[in-house]
Amino acid sequence: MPNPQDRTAAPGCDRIAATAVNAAEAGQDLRRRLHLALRIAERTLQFLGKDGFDGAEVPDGNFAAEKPLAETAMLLYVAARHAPDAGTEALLRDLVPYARSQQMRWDVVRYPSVCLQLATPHILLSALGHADPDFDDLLARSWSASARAGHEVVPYRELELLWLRSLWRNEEPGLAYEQIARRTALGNPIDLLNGTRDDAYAHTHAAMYATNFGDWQVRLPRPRDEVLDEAGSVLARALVIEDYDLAAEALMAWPLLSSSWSPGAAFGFRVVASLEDRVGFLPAGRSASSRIQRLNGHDKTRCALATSYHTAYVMGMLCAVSLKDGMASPFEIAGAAYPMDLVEMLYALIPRTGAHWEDVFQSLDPCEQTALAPFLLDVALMRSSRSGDAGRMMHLLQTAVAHGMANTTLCSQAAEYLSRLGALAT
Amino acid sequence: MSHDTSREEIVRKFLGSKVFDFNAFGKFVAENGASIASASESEFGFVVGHRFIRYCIPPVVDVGQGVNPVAIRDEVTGR
Repeated sequence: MPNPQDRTAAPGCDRIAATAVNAAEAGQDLRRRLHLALRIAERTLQFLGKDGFDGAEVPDGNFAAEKPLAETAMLLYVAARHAPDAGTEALLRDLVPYARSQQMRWDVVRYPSVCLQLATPHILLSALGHADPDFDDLLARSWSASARAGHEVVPYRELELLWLRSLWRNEEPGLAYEQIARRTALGNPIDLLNGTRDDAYAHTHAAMYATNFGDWQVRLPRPRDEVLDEAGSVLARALVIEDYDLAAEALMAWPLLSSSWSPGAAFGFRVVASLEDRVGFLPAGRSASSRIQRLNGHDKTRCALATSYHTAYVMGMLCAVSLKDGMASPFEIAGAAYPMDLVEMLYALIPRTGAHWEDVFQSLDPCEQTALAPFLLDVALMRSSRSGDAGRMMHLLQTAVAHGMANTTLCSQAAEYLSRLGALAT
Repeated sequence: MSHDTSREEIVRKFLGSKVFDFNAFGKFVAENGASIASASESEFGFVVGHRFIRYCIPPVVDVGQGVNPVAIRDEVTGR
């Protein structure tokens, strides 16, 4: 039975070492991808930085300028922290007039209950050496308003506020940070079988804020491996439904928590990287809005950017944080080898949908494929759960126990779910 | 007992208990319709909330009969 903690390649898989991208090449590749995200950020500022976007066919596709401005600031913050040679200075200067526009000043004064969120670009710019005492004064006035706490937020957003306040005040986050982290997905597993997309985002974001995007070493409320194991399941689900925004966010958990890439995570990285290479940027999903084809010129560019910039940013952040000291190449799938017949059995149980991960999996060296049995188990369990196939779930759990793969949150949640289902029929 | 052990123990206890009655469950599903047991494959759930708290959550895109994202590469990257 393989030892899941074994980080070495299986015997007979020496070729992996020969073909794996070495650390220097991986760093070069990550910088190239980060530069692409920064280029897209430059265009996002140019086309969406002033007015946001209001041309979507569904209301939730529209957004005010503060959203891309905050996210651009986050991308630049992560890039500057972990890839100081990435050349962010010009973009930071470009961001300043948008981040501290009269509209932003007005909004910060007008909406004290969300003033820290609105001031995200200002706070991050200040943390990167672009201070503005006048804007700080406005923010302080809003922050001291009696309505400051008038907008209730869920725990991971509370963590975000503490993170922003900590950067703004240049203070240690303190005990409250740990207390709130306990109430987030860092302290409690999300429902990996039937949870919502919001739950998945709560999981990915809690790690970002708790660690200051990988810059702080923090004491997690649960063992790190549990959090990463759940990130692996979120990643598997995101690859199945081709939600590449979520996939890239889930991948950030490994560098954020300063952990070695699991085989499943390295595989996920290859999937998003190869898709980025194929498309020219990491798309949000398999398709883009057909509405874009009906537009021309400025409107077409704005619509294309509005629907695409976010995922491209997440990919840029993922590459930036993957460049932090001590991280190995994310392209190398190395781990305990499971029997090939087990891998083939698990893969055969997964209905084909044409998702990109299937192509990438088929292209792998057999030695790499044998390290991915836990990933395939996750996918097979989730797919059988979604189709209501209790018998297959049971079979998969038995297989997991037999091969030492049952020490996961997904397996325990599947067992609990089946147990509850059993009670339905009694 | 570590958390890892407790997670595997949950699985082992469930499998060992044999509490899941396939015949009864099959009858339950048959009586209530197979659709009761399945869920949509296309999403996790729903995103709700005011735009102020939706930083870092991607904008919702109604793709319908969507196009290959390669078609918008030049618009996104400027190349």
